[in-house]
Amino acid sequence: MRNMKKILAMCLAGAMVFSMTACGGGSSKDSSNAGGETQSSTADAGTAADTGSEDAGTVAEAGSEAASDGERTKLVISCYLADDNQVAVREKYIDEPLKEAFPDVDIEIKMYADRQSLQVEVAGGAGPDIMDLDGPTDVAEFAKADKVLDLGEYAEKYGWGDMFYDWAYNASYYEGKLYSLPTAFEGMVMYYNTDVMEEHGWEIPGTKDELIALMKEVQEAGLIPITFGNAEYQGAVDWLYSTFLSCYAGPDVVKDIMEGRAKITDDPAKASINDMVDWWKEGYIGEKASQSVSTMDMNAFFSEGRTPMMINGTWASSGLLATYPECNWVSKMMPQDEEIGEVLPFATAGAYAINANSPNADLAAEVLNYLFTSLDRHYDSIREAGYQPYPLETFDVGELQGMDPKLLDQYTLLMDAQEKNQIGFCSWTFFPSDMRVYMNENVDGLFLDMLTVDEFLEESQKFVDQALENGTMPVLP
Amino acid sequence: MKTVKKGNIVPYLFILPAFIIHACIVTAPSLSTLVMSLFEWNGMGNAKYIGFNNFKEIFKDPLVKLAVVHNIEWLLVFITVPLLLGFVVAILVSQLRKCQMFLRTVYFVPYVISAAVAGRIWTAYMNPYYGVNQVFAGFGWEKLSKMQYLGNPRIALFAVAFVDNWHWWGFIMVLFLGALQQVDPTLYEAAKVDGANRFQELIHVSIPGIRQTIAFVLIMTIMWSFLTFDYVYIMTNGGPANATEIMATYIYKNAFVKYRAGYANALCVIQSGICIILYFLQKYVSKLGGMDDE
Repeated sequence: MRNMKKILAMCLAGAMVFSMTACGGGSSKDSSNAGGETQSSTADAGTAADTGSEDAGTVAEAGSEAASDGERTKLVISCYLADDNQVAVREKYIDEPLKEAFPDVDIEIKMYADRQSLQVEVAGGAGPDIMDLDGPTDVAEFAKADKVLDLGEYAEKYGWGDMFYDWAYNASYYEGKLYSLPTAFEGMVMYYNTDVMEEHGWEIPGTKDELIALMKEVQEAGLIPITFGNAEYQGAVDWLYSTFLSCYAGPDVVKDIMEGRAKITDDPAKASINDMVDWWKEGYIGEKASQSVSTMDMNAFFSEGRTPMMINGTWASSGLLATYPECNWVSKMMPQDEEIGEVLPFATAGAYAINANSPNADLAAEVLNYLFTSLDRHYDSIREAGYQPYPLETFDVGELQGMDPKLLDQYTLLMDAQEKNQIGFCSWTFFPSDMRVYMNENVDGLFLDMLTVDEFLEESQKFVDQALENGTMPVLP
Repeated sequence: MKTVKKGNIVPYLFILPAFIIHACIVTAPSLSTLVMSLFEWNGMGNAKYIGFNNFKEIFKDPLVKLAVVHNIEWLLVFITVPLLLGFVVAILVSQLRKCQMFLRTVYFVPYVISAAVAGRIWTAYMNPYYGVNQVFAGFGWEKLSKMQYLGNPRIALFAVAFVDNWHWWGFIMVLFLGALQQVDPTLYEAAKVDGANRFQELIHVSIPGIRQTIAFVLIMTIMWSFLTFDYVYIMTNGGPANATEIMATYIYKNAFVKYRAGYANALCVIQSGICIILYFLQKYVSKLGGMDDE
């Protein structure tokens, strides 16, 4: 009996060790397969660089070559968590066209519930071939860890440098190398609820002084002048300080600060931050309750008419249309400081990067090129599903006729601002990431008198100095 | 002698599989946390050895001090409110002949609601524009109706702790209730024969009878208070102005927002160290108070 127990125990222990070994074995087998796929997926997609979805056939041929040995190459593209409706839209405008363009490639769009899962996978040497990341500052962290490929060669091959607006393309560089391509762009604008404005006989302000006068009137009428909330996401304050710095200190001042020719503690920048703090303390922004109001509440308050104005990104427009279709609104650039002129703070809304561990890097680059050159598909996705436009120089707003007029106006505003070089800088694209984290965590401290503007700016300047010293400052156009 | 030694191997072989699993998924990552705390690492690439620099930085970091203070405040709330409430209600419910199961279920329900759902619901209740403040305004309670539970840095931490308590105390109550039901009824009869009143029964029979459960709940509360994360992260994200920042949220932000995994590992080591010290302190105090859970 005792021997039986011993044998049983040894068998269990053996089985345990074996099962763990088997797990490890599985992954090494996968790796070797992946290596095989690398060879089979080498695709020359030079012809796919031409624009237009009509090139799908050419791309398909390249895909066929890639699978010449009969094995289907697998390519994984990451994306953010989405609900069923969003998935259906994505399938129509991204999944299906990709399948048509690359019939011999098994393309999987993999949703990641959170950023951490993707980060952990990549850290472990795996992860998707193409990563949809938060933007250049996010990509920079992957680049520091050598987890994303330098796209320089592909950029030359496909001519990406000439396709994108310079501000967006240059912002994708980190330490002199191109690590990502901007997937969309966005800007900070002022939304006006036209029903509320008309009801009270208020005009859309053109200047900062007119805005201040209007905010006083709105407050007297018992409404919140500008709705704002960051209860569930402290970092939403970056919408505010990015807007104030760009619009009321001026883009030239911000550029000088980030390039070391001026300091954020100097007067123009300090005055703009003081304005932001004063407006909050006056109750003009968020009625001194922004820390208790969520970003979703913001949209609700705006749409329900509790407030005539909202400082928000252009990304909010599709949500407003979908959730509050009866609300009438327009979006404009922030009322101008007359000495600076009209400015629209821009940011890249996301970035595609290629995983350095991808066994199919060439194919991944080809897929990226397809996404950015199949413009018919892209126009349809914007017109019919409210997708954000890519920052492409060839982008023609005229192709968007027929879409919701409010959105069309907004895209026209964005394109005009780029044409006229009225470009401001959003922190999540153009500020050093440490500086942005510090500012995001401490702006509420300014509002709630837990920190002075001087202390806040002095600390922020340290991050600028550090980034300049380390050579990690983002590129400003 | 030799036979006895051979016989002793068998139990160890039986626990070997569990030991291997534990070593792989608990011990090894714990040791790697300790090792990585000595590196500058963004969580993905190659790590650079920097000795104890992360720890030196921790002792200078004002946010760490703030987070530890918040954790201590959180601990003080959790070591008193839910324990007292759970204990008192457990005593009351244990006296009932009818409806005991119903009440036990009702009080326990908040515990099974996910933190994400409960956090969102309570955030809505605490919204100054459409939450309970509107009810207070309806009653004419002007001052209460203007209260910003999650927006005022002086009370935000306690507002979140209130919600976590709401979720937690029912579980404590069920633990105490289960323990009370295990107390030998003849001890109560003997106490009655000796002329003890209800309060004396409580002090001399009930509490000594459940002292191991009390010790267990105390030690778990102390440790969980230092490891808590979910409600704070969901309801305030550490804000406003870091007024609800606790160790766990600060570790998370360093690891995944600031890409400072090495520093986050060092914070984890400090957090574990605090928990271990509190564990032994609690054991010592419990032993002095006759509540040793041995």
